[in-house]
Amino acid sequence: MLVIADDRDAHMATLAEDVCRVLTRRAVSVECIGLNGFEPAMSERERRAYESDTPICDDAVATSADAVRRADSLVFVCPTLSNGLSAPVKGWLDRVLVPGVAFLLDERTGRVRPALGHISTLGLIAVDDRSALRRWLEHDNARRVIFRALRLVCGLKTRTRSLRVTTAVLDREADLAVALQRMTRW
Amino acid sequence: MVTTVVHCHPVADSFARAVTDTVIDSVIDRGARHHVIDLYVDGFDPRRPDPTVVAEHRELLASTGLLILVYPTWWSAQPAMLQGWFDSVWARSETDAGSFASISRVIVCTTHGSPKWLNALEGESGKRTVSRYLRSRCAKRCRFTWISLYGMDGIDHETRRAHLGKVSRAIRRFVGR
Repeated sequence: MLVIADDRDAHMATLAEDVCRVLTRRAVSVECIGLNGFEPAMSERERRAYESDTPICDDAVATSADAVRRADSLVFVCPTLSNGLSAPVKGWLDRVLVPGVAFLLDERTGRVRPALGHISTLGLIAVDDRSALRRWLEHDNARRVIFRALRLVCGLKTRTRSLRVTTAVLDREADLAVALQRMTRW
Repeated sequence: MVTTVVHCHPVADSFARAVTDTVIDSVIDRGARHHVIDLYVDGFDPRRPDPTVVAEHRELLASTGLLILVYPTWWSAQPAMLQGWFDSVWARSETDAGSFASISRVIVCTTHGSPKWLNALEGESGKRTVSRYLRSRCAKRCRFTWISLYGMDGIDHETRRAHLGKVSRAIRRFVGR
């Protein structure tokens, strides 16, 4: 199980640690990638290499890509700042899930073939303080990217699981522990 | 009315750059005052943006009437660089409610590698982020225009040129109103 966490601030780092601890209880092994030092913006060199045979030209990206190939589940932990995935998590998708890792481009037909068939579960743990009405009005685009766009390059039987926590819950250790207990059913 | 153009693409000779150049030419032709924010060239840091830069961009948006965003759609949403700009410049706080109330129209010029039906299946979250989230931070009756080129991976030079013409006509229609 691979946990990709936007751990830029202390609260999010604690949440990422807690998530990994809870998941370790049920998963065979949990690998966590903290995005605190990860550059989210795709560079010019990477964009030019995107459609070549070697689209990965950075060590941190190569490490993440290897972890994705080994993983059976992907769990994203991120704050919702402007109605979507946070920049580091979106940057991780942009830079790591390139041709050869997340999908394969058929040179003959030009079609995209999924390459994440080995992923059995996609999880999203979002720190989101918006009210239910605002979420309904703005749509939950973090969920859309993970559970629809990314889901399309996974297998037919890939499950989706999500958990929403608020910053108020993050501040209270006992409440957070209760919230994270829901992940034991993942 | 001031027009602000935000460009986000890492490659200097990309099709997105051609779209931005077309947008700027059309704005200049209409004689409108404009500003350009090029997030890559300006070295914007999407992880930890400089508070001075964020304040400058907020000030600029506070006097903007027409906002034009040019970017490629990756994984059904904005590139991380632009997402970081949204996260910092557009994020809600208790003190900045309604700070972009002067923006009366948002135009998005974007490109997709995949066809339109696949984007619909993916949920078009990039479109929703602008039409639902950003627009809710602008003027009450802010209008939204979506100019998109789908299936970039399989189109010819003529189609791209036709798209630039479409962009130019749309911008001329709205700028200077």
